[in-house]
Amino acid sequence: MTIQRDDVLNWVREYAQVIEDNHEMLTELDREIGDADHGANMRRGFKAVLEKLPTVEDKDIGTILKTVGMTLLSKVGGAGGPLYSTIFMKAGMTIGAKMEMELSDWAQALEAGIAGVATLGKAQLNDKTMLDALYPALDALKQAIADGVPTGDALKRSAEAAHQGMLATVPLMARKGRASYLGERSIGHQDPGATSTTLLLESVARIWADC
Amino acid sequence: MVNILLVSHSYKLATGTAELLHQMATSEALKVRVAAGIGDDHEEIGTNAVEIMEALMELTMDGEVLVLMDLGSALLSTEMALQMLDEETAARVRMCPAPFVEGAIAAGVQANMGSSLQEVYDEAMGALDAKRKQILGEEETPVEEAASVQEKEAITSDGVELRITVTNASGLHARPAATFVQTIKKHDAKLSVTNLTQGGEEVAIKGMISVMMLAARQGDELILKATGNDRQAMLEELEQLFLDNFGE
Repeated sequence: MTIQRDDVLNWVREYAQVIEDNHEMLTELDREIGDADHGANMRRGFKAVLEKLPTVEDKDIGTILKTVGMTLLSKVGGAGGPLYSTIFMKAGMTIGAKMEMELSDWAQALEAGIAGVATLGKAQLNDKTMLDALYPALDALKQAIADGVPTGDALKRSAEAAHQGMLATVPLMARKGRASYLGERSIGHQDPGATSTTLLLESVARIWADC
Repeated sequence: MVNILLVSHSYKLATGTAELLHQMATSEALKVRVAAGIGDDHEEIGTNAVEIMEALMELTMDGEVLVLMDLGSALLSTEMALQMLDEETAARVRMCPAPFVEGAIAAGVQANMGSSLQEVYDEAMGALDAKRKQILGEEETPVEEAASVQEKEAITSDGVELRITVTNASGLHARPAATFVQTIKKHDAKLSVTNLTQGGEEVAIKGMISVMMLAARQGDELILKATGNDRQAMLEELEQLFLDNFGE
């Protein structure tokens, strides 16, 4: 089975709902080590995405993802704006004008998005950022594809790896973003960006489970 | 002309900074734009890369642009905006890591004088030094004495000197400093200044920050040394500024 355009639309809608349900938790995490706006920013961004989505729901996957990216860029406000925008835009550019895609297309798209985030944020693994969830998720996904694991299970492994990466940010000291101002005081807190990206990949695994 | 873009999370911070800047850099040719806040009325805290991109497109139409940013996502959003511009446009834009308020004002005054992008950038980058010097002071002790000062007063072979006392209450703070450099820029001449009272070294005046580096307060005695074709006229005009207390 392949991942259809409508699966992509359903995933974006699902993630918007996940953000709606979790925005207070994300803001609370951000209050501990940042500026207490991540949840509110993401919520504003994905509300705008939901409003925009009907204008592109008959388009290809690349167009849909790029539109999500552009909308986030002007609406989110915090660092999450340019970073999430980069993930969606680079992914959309990588997939291009397809109405359906293979899991390997998704892996390539994710890889391009993550590379964009690393370049823009000038961050590395263990800097206590969203990359700490994204890199393990990508590695797990590629490994699962190489092992011939079915799509649903492969995405589940990827989401689990993201979750582990997210938990592993707790003992880290932040080296990038607002949390880096806190230095050692950032230790002991879970990174909000790694948390929201884990939610992103978990919603992928849920919505595309039967692809 | 170098134009200025202020990128901030807060619309109030950006517009307030622009207001401060316009107080000292009054040329109508200088364009200062803000890209700040988020949402329809800019009232929420955040930055918007699309708004930054649009502002850059507008400001690059008739010149180059120096961008000052507050922190965090202001930098990321500006980088993102630059990535979305074509290379030719992006090449006319320079991101400046100077502190937001100090850098903006120094850059504005320098840009107002028609300086190059590099000069405006350098001036903004020095903006923190003046503040640091004023608060932390310097280890130096006064070295000049009255006798040696007298010797310096004569017209030298390569320039003209003027000894003058700062009389306005707040000294050569930002606004008088801006007026001071704008007056210099009008003339085909160069100026260096020594603050005798503070015992500092001779400072070549390149922009507002170098004036502020003199840390000249009310009652301080300065030696102004001018060279160049227009040196006499420049010194006369500067002297008048001091006599008028810089209009304060």
